[in-house]
Amino acid sequence: MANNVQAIRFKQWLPEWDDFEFDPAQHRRKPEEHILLFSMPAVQLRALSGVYRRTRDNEGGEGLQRLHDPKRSAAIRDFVRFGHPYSGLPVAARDESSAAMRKPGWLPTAIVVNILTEGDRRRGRKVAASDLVSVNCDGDSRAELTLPYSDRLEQWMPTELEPFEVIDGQHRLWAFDEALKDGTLPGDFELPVVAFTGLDVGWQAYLFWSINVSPKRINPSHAFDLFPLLRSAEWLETLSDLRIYRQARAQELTEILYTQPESPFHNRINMLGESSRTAPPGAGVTQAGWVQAITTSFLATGSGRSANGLFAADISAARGPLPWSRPQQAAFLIELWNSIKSAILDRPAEWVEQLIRPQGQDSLDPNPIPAFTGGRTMLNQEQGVRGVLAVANEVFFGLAQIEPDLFEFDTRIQAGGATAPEDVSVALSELAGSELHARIAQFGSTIASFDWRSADAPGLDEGQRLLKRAFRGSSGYVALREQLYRHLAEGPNWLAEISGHALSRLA
Amino acid sequence: MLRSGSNFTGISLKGQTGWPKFQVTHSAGWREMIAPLNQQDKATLALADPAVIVAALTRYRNAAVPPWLSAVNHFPDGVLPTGPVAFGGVSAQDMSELIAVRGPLHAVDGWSYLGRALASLLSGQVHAARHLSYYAELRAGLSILASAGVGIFNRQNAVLDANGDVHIMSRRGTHEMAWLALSEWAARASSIEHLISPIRFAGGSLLDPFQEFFPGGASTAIGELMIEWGFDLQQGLVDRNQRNWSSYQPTALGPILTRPVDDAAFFQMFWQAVRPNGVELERHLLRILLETEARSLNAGVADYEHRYERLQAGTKNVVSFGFLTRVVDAYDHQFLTYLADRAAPAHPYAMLCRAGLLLKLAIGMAEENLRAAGVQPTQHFNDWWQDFGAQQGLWPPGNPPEATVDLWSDIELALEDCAAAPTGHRHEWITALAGNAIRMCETERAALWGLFQ
Repeated sequence: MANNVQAIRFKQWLPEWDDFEFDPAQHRRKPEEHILLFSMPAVQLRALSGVYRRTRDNEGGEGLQRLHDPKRSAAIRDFVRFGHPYSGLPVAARDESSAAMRKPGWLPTAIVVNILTEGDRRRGRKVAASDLVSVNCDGDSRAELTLPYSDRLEQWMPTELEPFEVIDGQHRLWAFDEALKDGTLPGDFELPVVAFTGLDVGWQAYLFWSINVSPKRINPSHAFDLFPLLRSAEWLETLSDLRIYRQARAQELTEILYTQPESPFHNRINMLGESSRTAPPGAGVTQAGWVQAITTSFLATGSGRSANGLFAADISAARGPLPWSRPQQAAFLIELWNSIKSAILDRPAEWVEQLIRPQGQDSLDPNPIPAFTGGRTMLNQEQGVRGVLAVANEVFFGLAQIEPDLFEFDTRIQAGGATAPEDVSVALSELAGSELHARIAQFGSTIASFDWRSADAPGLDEGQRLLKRAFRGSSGYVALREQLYRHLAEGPNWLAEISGHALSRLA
Repeated sequence: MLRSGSNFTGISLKGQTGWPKFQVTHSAGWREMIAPLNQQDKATLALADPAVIVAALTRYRNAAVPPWLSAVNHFPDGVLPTGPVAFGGVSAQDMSELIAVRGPLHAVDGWSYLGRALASLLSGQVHAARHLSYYAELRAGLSILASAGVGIFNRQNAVLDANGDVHIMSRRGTHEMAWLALSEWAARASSIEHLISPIRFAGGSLLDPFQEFFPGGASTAIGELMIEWGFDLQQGLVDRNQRNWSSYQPTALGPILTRPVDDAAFFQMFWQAVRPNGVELERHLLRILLETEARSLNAGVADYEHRYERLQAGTKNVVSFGFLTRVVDAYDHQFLTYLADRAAPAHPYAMLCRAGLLLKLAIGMAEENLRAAGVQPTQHFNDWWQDFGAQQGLWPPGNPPEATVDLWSDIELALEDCAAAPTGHRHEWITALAGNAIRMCETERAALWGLFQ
């Protein structure tokens, strides 16, 4: 029968595994003890896995659509056709004289998939009853899969969610996408498949990690983009990978803030920790200071006294962490600071006037930019950067809990690889067109009206100076945060509500 | 390799006519007085396996601290019997527990000693600064060895092998054995990863960019690299002799003075080199690491520009190819220049920097072992480090920082005030520093942000 697939059913389970912690709340309910092994034409596997749906449409399974790097798939496609070393030649060099270099491009390593069951839901969606793949066991070692359609080479589409989730091997599968259209690869090219059934998403993240990161060591930061669920996996915490991710990601985000042309800190971070005399103009904050500030805010663990980091912690047990990739995270930070800068430039608050025109006698229109980039504003000092990031993180984490849909974007960003400046620009444009953008602007506008003059600014009275001195040092973080929340509590309703909660926590 | 000059402007030696009495053994001379390790001890040291230490540390996932040692340990104060027979009878479990805790705890103590050395420097007590710096160095050495599976006790020394079995080494005093064993351990190529990989750099390990240049790994032994970094591990014994002079002779017979203006600059330089998430010192260490490896392949860093291109963008921003090839910023960091100075009498800045580098390595190894054991120091040792900080006066009781890296901002503030303080004479300087004088000496902070990240 064309719609049935014969499989080998094998047990991979040890009795002591029964004692492990299987917690459905952590997306790790107890897995099946048996795994299936079979082969399937690439086109059929693609159809069952929904790989035709290239653009994210808010309907995709957990992470499937965000894994694709077209160049990598193209390289695999070339490899299948030509093998090594011919597939590595430039196209111009692929002529008759080098034809002898062609070899078979075998793909003998299994694609790892999960077969969704009737009860599995992904972002509220499930596989339609008529699309489910059923597994019938025949004795101990044989099984038969019944597929929802009969033609092995038909480019079938599911009614709702696809019945397969690809855990590992996406690029091998995608390699056949364009190849089929242009006829360079046949549709009946078969691939080996290892299939789990009803595997919870927490176990999928773990499996992806064990296949791709340990022991092969792909960049952990990329892995966290591919499987956001890993960012809050406590089993990784104990192996220090989460710490490495946070340090590496904070470093990457700092780097993007420094290099991205749209960033208000473009070329304005003291990357080498130089003295103020030799640091770049306006670079009042060191790279180390930025890394610390991002690590302890947006990448905080949420454990102990630590805040819930918007880019790292679970928004809720059901939703898990925010699935934003590195360019999206960077775009958010850039937009956040641009909103503060714009508010200062467009609608200078009283403190800005006092800072840039302390004597009040200037007749020429003064430039408000030193209120953002000068040496007498906390916005260009580590204390201020830390303060802004700390409250922004808590405010937007609170907002994500109340209105999670605000943080859901259609995105063209390909996660999991190196970030080009264009990716961040794309993420910025996507953010600009979102509802979240208006909230960021409100936050920026409100926080820009806080008196950011530093303790050594001219024109401060003794009381103001004392208050600002209290913001310095390690104990000053809490004092500044408290003052910022009091200030934000006077902003728009949503901001006031979240800040009120934060204040009650601090008290 | 270019090195900046090593002439200190901040030292003046009084009573030069009597100075020959201050003659100390130079690095080349110590071997003549101290017998090297015998072959048996070398073979025993080669058995040391940090995996046993990691295994012993796993108990902290479920054991509250304090106490650091389990209730069944027969030596709750860490003092082992001095007799060879009794020492040889210490059980493997007791021994592995004892050696395991010495990794993090010696490192923490070492940073405390270093803080007291800085306080002595600030007070103009240079001999005391030298005395205490040496003890900071020694604690760092003991910590590194413990993290590697080697226990140096009072004339009793033991090694834990891969099976957890205890092997006894010769009866040598702590100071001698510590430096001889460290030098021997460091001569093994396998040691390099243990020592260097915990050094954080641009969001990863210092080894990450190195491995982009040299995927095959480091061919050099850590002992050679330490010398390239300016620290000859055998220098520890020389510094011990220096300590002896400062510890047991009337200081008036060989007074050493530093100037407040130089001390103030030293404080700035030192703290910036050990600040959390800093790259200042690390980028120089990386450059020397790459130079050393390239030289071992009869090449120079300039020959590897294609490999440089593979570095992460963030790394390139802090180490340009021009920097790595010494086209720009050609001289080594002043921390390394001080550290490499082996003039006699040893300058306190040199000894302070030597201790600082060793302690950075020691705390990194200790933290890495704990992590490998599945221990999250910040959480599993929560009560201990919070009490420790309050006890040391780093924060008010019950009000610890949310993250240990926050402890940097107090130092930054103190350094800022220090930069503005007059340094015409020491009384003027200390008076202007007021409370900052103590803050600038609280190097326990570095232990906390190194171990409890």
